Amino acid sequence: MKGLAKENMVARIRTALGRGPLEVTPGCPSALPEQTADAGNENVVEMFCTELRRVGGHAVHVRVEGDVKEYLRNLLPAGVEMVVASSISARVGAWLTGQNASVISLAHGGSVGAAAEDTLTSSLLRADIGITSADYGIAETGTLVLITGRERHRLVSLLPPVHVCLLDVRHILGSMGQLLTLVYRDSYSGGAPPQSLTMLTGPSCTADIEQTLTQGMHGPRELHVLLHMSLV
Amino acid sequence: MQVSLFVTCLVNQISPQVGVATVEFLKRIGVGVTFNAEQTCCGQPAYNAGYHREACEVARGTLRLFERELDSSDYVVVPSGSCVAMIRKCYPKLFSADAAECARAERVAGRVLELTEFLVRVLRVEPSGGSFGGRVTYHDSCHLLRELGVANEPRTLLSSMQGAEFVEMDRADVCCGFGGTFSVKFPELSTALAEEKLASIERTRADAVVACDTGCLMHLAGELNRRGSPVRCLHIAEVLNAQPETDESRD
Amino acid sequence: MSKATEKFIAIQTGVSAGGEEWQRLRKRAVMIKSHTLDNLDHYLEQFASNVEHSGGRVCWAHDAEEANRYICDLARTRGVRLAVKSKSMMSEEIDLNHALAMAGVEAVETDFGEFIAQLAGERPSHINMPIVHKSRADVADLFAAKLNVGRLEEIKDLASVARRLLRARFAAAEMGITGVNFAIAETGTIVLVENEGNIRFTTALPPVQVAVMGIEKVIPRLADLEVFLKLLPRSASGQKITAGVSLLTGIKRAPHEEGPREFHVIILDNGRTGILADPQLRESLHCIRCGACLNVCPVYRKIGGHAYGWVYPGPIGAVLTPILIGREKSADLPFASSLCGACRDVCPVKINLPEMLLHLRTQIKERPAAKVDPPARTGSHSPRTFGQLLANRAERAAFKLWAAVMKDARRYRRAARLARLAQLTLGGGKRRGVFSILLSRWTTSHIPPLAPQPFSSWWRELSDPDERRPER
Repeated sequence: MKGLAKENMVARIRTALGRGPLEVTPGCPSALPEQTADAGNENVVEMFCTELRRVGGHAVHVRVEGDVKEYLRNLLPAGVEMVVASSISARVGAWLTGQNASVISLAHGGSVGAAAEDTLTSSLLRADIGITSADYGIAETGTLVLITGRERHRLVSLLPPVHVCLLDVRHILGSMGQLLTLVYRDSYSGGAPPQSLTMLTGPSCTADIEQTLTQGMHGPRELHVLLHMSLV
Repeated sequence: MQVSLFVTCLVNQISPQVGVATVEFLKRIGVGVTFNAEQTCCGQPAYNAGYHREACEVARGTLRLFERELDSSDYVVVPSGSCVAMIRKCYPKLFSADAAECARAERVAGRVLELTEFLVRVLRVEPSGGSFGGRVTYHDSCHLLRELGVANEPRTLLSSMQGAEFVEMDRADVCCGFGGTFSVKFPELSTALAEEKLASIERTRADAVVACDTGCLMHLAGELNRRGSPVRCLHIAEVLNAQPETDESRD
Repeated sequence: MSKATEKFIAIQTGVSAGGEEWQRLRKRAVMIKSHTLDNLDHYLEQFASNVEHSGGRVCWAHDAEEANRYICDLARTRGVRLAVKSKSMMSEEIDLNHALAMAGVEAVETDFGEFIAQLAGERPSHINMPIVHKSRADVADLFAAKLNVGRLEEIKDLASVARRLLRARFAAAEMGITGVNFAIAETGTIVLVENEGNIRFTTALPPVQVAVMGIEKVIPRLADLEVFLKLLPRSASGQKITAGVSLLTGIKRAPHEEGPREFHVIILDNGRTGILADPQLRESLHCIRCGACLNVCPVYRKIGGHAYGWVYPGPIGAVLTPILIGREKSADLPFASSLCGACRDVCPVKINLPEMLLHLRTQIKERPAAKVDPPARTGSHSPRTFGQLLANRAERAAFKLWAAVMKDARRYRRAARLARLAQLTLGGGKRRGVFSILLSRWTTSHIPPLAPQPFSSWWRELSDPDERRPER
């Protein structure tokens, strides 16, 4: 039945186009020529920060782990117990010692069974801060790129109202075009594409009521990007 | 320089003073003007209403008229953007069934010009001598602006007039709501759009609103009269032709 | 609507500042879309094959009924009682929520604007800003009445209520349903853009994922996405890029670990092959649903989206509606435009909307008796009444008469003389135009009176002042 439905639709399309099946694979017009910005160079990093701040995200340079610890300390309100979820590294616990914070860590590999997933979701729904890393950055728009596979950052970057994201500056590309070329080569062309690639630019928002912008809708209302070089 | 005037059915029957002003002004700046009294209409009303056959019948005659006129004139000049858009952009489509006729339409198209196109792009005229007292603002007619790409030409002419203070209105390029048969089929909507345009005009505190299309001017004038507003609706030809001593420039 | 108009204008001002770069993007987008449509069979097959390769399933649906049946069967066999949905015009087109309700599935809209519209029992009135017709006060009243919360004045408080309510639904839903902004043939990937985060929730939590798309959503390669990601957000909301863009491919596969258990894509025709077949209308399939044409349309700004009577409002709606639900039932729409052309100017994919409206007008006038079998629901449109049919006959006769007069100069002059006579006689001292009087039964529009003398008389007197020719 399904085969027939497909054949019928394809046949209708061909009739509409006034021809039979194609004999030769069509050649697509070439993609836009790439811009020349180099990954990781000063200008690119600068542009990334400017763009991110323009849309209400925070961009901060961190050199050593002490900087991260300091930043997190300032983020946590005094006297309140906070739940911090993390997908990056067991070191997060160390970053939070002395703080009134409990950590949910998704750093360990291996798949999680269905029941465990539900519990995980419930815990993440209660988390106040989510810490992840990003796979790439795009300078021209201040965008983070998170690809499922290496790190379990999909829900940690979404559920908690505050998202802290560590981005290695050497992974910041100039343009969307460069990003797409790279991920096609590294992730999509091998026949085993990632289930999800998410591009995040600033905190979530809505302007549905009277076209007035409000930051923080379903996704995080705050986005903090910590720019580093090979720190994690 | 010799031109043949295609005065348009609206100007001919409803606003003849626009035709008069066009002829007087052109003559004053040394352009020879002829008028072929066999002309009727470009066919746009039927075309826009969906009656292509009827539009074709009428347009055919007009095309032949232009061909005859262009034998002895350099250009056909038209005080209307929408008619020129019809002739230049739509005639080739209207006659697309007949390759020869279509080619004729395309040949004619390049030599049929809207008045300000002709004055600024061909003659490179700078209005002098004429003067218009008071504050004027300008409304971009849709076809003139978007089909013919004419936006700077009328403004250039208006800004360089002695005595006239030219003020740009907000949303000058938003449709006034005339749209030909649209105003007949959807009169409340058409009026509502005119009201918005009038609000833009009011904000400029201009004494007159100027446009290059009689359709728009008629539509806006109708609304202004209904309100008892003193703001005048003038075709650019009338403004250009205004003389210091005559009534048109005062008031 | 007038407040919304301010916002619309602001978006467009930003876009027009895009200059050469913007024109370059538009040109590229048209090339890609046009090439894709010319080879649509190839790219859809490639897309479907790649979806299946990643563990997904494809339903090739001819119409709303087939699509809804597939989704409802899926829900039934998976024991789905609650589905969360992100904004999808296609799902409106096929009335999916209604079908799901009949099948005992509660479908909850999660886009803030759609959530509000659903609560109010209304359709969205804009492609991207579903409740542009509602004020903050309207929403506050609605929430107070339906959600058992006090009257909240601040937008952020209203947003919090929705956020809290919907979090619970996201977590409990067994099925997530989305539309598709772009479908990438070479990888079997669907692309979704958003600002709120509800799409990420809808696609990350429920185990069964369903995406509905029209056949025209496919683009050839991942690289082609760049052009559209640069055009869509800017045209739609004046943003360089939306806060979230999701590229989703197939099901959860170890070692990826995060993703749905099932992934279904419904590829829908629903009348689009008919559009594809008409060379004058085919371009309308380039539409990326940005809503820019709505934003600049003086008519849309005045009357709002609901007045268009069906799913798609504005200029694109005026083109799609007659084609998809039948000309018989929506004959007014192509005429409800002044053909100002502002929509064509702003369209990121250069659709010549005014030309299409003209084409539809000609189709309606030249083949009024043509029967078109509408594949979709007809919304609030109804077949024409007898009175309308009579008016159409009268109009046709009027234009035939007009042509007969206008193509003969002598007849024209005679008719003009007669009309002036009639004006003097009928109008009396009231200065009413003859056409105003004649058409007063059909229109309240004011048509100015004929001038006492036509221009041609002035010219004649100018050329031959001595010749006395009575002109009446």
